[in-house]
Amino acid sequence: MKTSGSGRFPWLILPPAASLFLFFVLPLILVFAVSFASRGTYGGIQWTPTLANYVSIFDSLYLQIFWRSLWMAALTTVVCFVFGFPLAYLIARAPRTWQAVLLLLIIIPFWTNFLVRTYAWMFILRTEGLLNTVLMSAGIIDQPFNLLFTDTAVIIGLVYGYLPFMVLPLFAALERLDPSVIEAAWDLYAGPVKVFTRVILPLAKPGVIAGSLLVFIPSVGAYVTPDLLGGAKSMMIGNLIQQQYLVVRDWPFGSALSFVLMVAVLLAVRYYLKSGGSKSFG
Amino acid sequence: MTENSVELCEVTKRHGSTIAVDRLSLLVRRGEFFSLLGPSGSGKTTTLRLLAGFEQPDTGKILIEGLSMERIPPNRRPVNLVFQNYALFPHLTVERNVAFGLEMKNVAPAEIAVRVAKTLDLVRLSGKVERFPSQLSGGEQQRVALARALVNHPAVLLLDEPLGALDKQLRQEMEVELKALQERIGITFICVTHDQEEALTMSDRLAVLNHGRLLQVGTPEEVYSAPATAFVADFIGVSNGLSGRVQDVDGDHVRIAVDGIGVLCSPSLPGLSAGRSVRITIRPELLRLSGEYEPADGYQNQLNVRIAKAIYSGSEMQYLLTLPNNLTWKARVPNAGGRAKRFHAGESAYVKWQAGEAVPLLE
Repeated sequence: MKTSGSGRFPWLILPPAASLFLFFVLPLILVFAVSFASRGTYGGIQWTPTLANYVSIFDSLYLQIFWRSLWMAALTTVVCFVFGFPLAYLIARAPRTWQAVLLLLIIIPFWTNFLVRTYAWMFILRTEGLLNTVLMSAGIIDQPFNLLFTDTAVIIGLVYGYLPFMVLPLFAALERLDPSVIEAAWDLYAGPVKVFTRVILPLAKPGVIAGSLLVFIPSVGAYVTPDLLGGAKSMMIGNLIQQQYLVVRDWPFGSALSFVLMVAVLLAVRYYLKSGGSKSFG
Repeated sequence: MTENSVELCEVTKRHGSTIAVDRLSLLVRRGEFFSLLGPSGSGKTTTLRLLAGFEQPDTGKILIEGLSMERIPPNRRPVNLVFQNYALFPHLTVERNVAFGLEMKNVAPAEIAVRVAKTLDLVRLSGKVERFPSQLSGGEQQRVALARALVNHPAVLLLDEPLGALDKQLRQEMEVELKALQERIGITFICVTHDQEEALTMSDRLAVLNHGRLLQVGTPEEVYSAPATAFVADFIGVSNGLSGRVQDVDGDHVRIAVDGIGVLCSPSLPGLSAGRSVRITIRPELLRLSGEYEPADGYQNQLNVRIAKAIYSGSEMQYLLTLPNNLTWKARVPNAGGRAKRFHAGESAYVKWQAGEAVPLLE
């Protein structure tokens, strides 16, 4: 028997499926294929299948860079949450007319190129930059301290860049929170800390998860920020991959790194959703 | 220990430029069902929030169980609030919602389990412990909110329009149930409502508020039969009124001249003297109708009226009467199984009442 649904071919699915295949699946397959090739003498790709690229990733030097990237991204996520939560809460509780203005202020930085904004941070963080000048003229410090080209500078840059991705989902979750539920917890003997951990945080959980993923995932692969603000020792995995493709011209090894990064992020996200995402505020 | 559960002394609270609560003094006795009745904006909800501790009075004192509540936050007050929208925790089951207060007070888990089970039994929700609030009906959510507050054995239970969100039939059931529950557990209930019927049915005593001021406190019967002001008379059920001037005082009674009507007799008030403006009010169910004039003594009032509308509503007839001065009154006459004389729109009739049935109010 012919039913109306199964009998006809769903033509409408073709355009999105085609574009997804062309721009997502196909490049991924290409990268995956290249990761099993080897580098030619002058930087080309030689199609002799090998696992050598994957094996060389397990060099302690590269593993260290992987580990650093995951760790820096995790730290960025935590700092974004610490700054982003009060901000999102404030906006969610602000009068309607103010909400629009405050949200606009969060989004405005996106109107300027990310690279330009990162250069701006270099001017702020330099030894003779804005921050040191202000602190010294205020008499808080008497020697300029070195901030640019350190891990701290990279974290500052990453937090600055990805904070809106934490604030917006948190705002969406907190805005839906009924204020009388908070009063109910207060009435039922919960102090400020318990009100936060037992009621506000669990109810904001979808926002916390979304915000954390939106900050963590791009932070792991970030390369502009560590490239400009980080020192020679602050290399992150994004820089390494970029280097393999553009400097060393070892595309097969760059492809292998990309794939391992993808798997590492997937595993980290899975771990977060399974444990951190649910257990810490059950 | 005092016999008063809650004392408010000259409490004033402003919200910006408006006075929400204006020099309010109240005593609520231990174990009574007390209602705060008033229209929206009367300050009844603010009063409740002052008692719960979400707001602090600008001036005046609040004592609960004899203890000053000055600067005591909600989490350290011996009261619990049942919210108007219930404010259940959507991420917790019924059982965990009810256990919340006890967990916050660090009660032993074994005791929590016993008390939660007992309280859920009390509100007849034992079968729904594992449900989430979103899986419950409005009436069930209301009972969870009640259980979540009662399980803590508060000295005073505060209820903010507890039945407001329920449909009419369920509301009437819950009125009786809530009152029975309160009598069984003996906790002081303070209930905010704008529904006079609800307040009259459930309360031991009630306070009528308007514009942040206390107008009258008393038992439902006192407030209903002897309203202190014209506002109370109107707010507690529909009242008929007429304004006039005192002609003379005769012991317990006064005669009042009303323009376009004549002279009416009413009980006296302290301080009444000839010439004072006065308003008499009388309840629609106290009026009697008859077809012809009946000679009577001086303590009976009788007015010739025209029936403007006759509405059949089952147990009684509701008549709209046009008075000689063109004012409209309402009368409610029991049908008594069809034995009562029926009037029709356009007919002329006599409306009568005993002088003692009217309530005089100073204007």
